[in-house]
Amino acid sequence: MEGFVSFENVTFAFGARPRQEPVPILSDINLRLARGEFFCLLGPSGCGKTTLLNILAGFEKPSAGEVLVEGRSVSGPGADRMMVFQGDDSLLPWLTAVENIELGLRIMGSRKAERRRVASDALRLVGLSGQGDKYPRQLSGGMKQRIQIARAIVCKSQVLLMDEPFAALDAQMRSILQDELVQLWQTAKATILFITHDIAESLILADRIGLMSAGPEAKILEVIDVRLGRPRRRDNVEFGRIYERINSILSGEVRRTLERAEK
Amino acid sequence: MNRLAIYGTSIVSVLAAWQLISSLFFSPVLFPGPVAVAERAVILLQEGQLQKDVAASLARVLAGFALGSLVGVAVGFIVGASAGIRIFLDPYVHFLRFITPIAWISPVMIWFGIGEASKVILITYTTTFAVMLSTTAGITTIPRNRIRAAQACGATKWQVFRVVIAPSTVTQILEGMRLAMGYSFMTVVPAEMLAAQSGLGYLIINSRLWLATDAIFVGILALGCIGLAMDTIFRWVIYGVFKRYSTAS
Repeated sequence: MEGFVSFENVTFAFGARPRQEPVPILSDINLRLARGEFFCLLGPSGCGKTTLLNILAGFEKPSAGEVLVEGRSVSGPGADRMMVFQGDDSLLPWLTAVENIELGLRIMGSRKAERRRVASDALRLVGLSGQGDKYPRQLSGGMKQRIQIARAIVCKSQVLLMDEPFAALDAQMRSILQDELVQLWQTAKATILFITHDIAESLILADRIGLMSAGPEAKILEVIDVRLGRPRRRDNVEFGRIYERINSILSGEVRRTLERAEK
Repeated sequence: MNRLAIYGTSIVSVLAAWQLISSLFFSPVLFPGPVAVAERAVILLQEGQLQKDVAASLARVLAGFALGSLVGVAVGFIVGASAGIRIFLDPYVHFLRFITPIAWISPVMIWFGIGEASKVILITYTTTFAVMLSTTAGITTIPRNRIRAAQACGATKWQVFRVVIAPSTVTQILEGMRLAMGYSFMTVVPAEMLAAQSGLGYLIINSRLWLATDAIFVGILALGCIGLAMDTIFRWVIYGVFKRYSTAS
């Protein structure tokens, strides 16, 4: 299939300097995302999920292979692929919530009144009306991630990259934000590549889930079609069945790494 | 309010203790009390000598400080942006850091004479280092995701600098300048003692020849007063004018 986003034979190694053995991270990754798809990458910690995301974002260059978005090769960062980062260190602490959301619009050169209007709409969309004048340090972890999501959606990017954005939140806040994200995705019709190591999270969110092997030289082991209706419910029988299937594959992966480490 | 009362009590009691100790235990020629020092200050002001010396020292400090800050910020940004340049310069930075500007007075006077240039050069040297180091530290501690967030929006290099890097570093640059202002005063005094016909350092060293201890104290206290005033301005700029950036770490 012709992908909207496609990873073509992507290989990545760190420290590829002369006379130094490069450390292989990703090996020959092929992955295609359809337009408007919600795709989760699931894998053990340190397997290279974030590296794969950074390559699509244009922050890292693959050692071999390439990434295409709408048939065009990715050569650097761009506003068509916005990133929601894992922690809160990407927010600018001297700007208010609404000014942070305006970042992309400011860089693209839109007028002040116009960008304030768009940012206020986005603020409402992520459920933070009335919080726009607060600074990041005055907001909770969940609110800060909503600011990041709003900052990404005002750019109207076609692709949203999310690097475990809810990992640092408590369980209730995480589940609220997961539901909100699905609603936003359905209205915005964006393509999302979402990284997580939380199986339940991927089952709530994704159309398809890519399981990654443990590094080094991580691969995509299997892509699972999640044929569950939306909104997803955790008490669904099929949900539990897929959960167990994924869990046994990933546990096997983690166990293999541990055994390899012991040798 | 309470704070002001404590300040007032503190100043009054220290002055009183000084007056008491000097009049009880010392000859006024060796250790004059605050009253004698104040009287001498009034005389020096009436003669216009104190204003002249303050103006001379301040002019040297401000010229060297301004030049050093400009060079320090510029070099700091260049060094902060490139790991290669940082490593290249690293040995010299830590080598030169331990050579006090006073040690440079001799060669600088040989090269540039005893005029204003040599004093300004010494102050420029000391300021450049402090400002450069704090600028570099400011840049290298910016969280990578802050820069990436701007890059993901398609920011050019200049936009990344303007929107992320400059606001992220302004507080540290100003703090470095605040330190450098102190170093500048510590540099100007010995330089004026060794080679000058004006300035507070000259006032202090010259009064020694006449055993005018009260005039020496006028010079020393004037240094403290100007330094305090400068520092107050810096604190107002850092925590007042640029307040929103001062929490940005």
